Amino acid sequence: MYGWIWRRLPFGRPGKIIGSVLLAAAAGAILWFWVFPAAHSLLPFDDVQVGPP
Amino acid sequence: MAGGERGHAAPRENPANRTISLDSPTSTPGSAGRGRRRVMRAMLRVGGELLTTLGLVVALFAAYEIWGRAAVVADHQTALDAQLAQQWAQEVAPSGTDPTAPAEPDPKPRSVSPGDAIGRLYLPRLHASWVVVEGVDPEYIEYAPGHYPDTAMPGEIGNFSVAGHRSPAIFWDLDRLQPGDAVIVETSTTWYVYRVTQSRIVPPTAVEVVAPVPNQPGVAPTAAHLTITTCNPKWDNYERLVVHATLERAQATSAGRPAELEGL
Repeated sequence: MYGWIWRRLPFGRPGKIIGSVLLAAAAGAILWFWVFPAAHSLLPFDDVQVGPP
Repeated sequence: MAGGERGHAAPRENPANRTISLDSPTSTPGSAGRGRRRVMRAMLRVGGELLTTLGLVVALFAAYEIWGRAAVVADHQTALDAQLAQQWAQEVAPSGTDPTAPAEPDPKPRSVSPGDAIGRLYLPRLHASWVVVEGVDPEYIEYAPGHYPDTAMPGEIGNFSVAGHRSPAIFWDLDRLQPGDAVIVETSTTWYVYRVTQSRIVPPTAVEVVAPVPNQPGVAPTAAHLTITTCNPKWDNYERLVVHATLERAQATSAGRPAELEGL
């Protein structure tokens, strides 16, 4: 999978390294700013008050 | 391996060693087997990469829950703080309160709407403070501690009760509060200094902790109490950590910040 991406990245070794970093950063940003905030509300950390059962 | 075989004649007679030599590249059955093995290896590699990726994503999510959420909460707290400062400037400016007047419980109307900022809560022991909002539904307390709507307002006789997340940006270290520690609430006119009396862990259904007299539902209150509830244990929700405090004194905001704030 990663090998397949690596082989398709252009501009020789420097280009492949820069391209890999950019792809990883983009994936991380999508997770951090969109996926994780949405996933957070599915966790049980929101129950903080006492209340009737 | 090849050198070893050449050097030892005796082990060659051992059937176990012969099976090993069958596995050497010179005696593979043919290209079909080699192809199958290559597909198997590719599948294992992709599977391994996927599992490694999943592990990294989960680790990143854990980091988000700690630092990402803290940054989000800090952003919202800054906005709420500005909102509160503006609201109080409008409230106080026209009337011009008398600085010599004794501090009294705010004659705050019960018409505070859910989500409104109602004051600031300071915990000097934890070197932390937050803007408190009205309401304890998940939408209101996502970024700030929330006031149970049916309980007293700050300084009032009764039980000013607040719920907040056990997140690193909010009540993470609430278990470090000790009896006698100051809990300070700031409203537009008054500083209220409460002292922690008790800290306990209760089941989520223990509504008596926010009764007007904590833990004595139905009893008419004669003193001003404060109660904080949050999740227990950290990162889970099957218990509540509860801290009770009682009003020690109040001072008008015009009399300056209370000494108990210790530079907060």
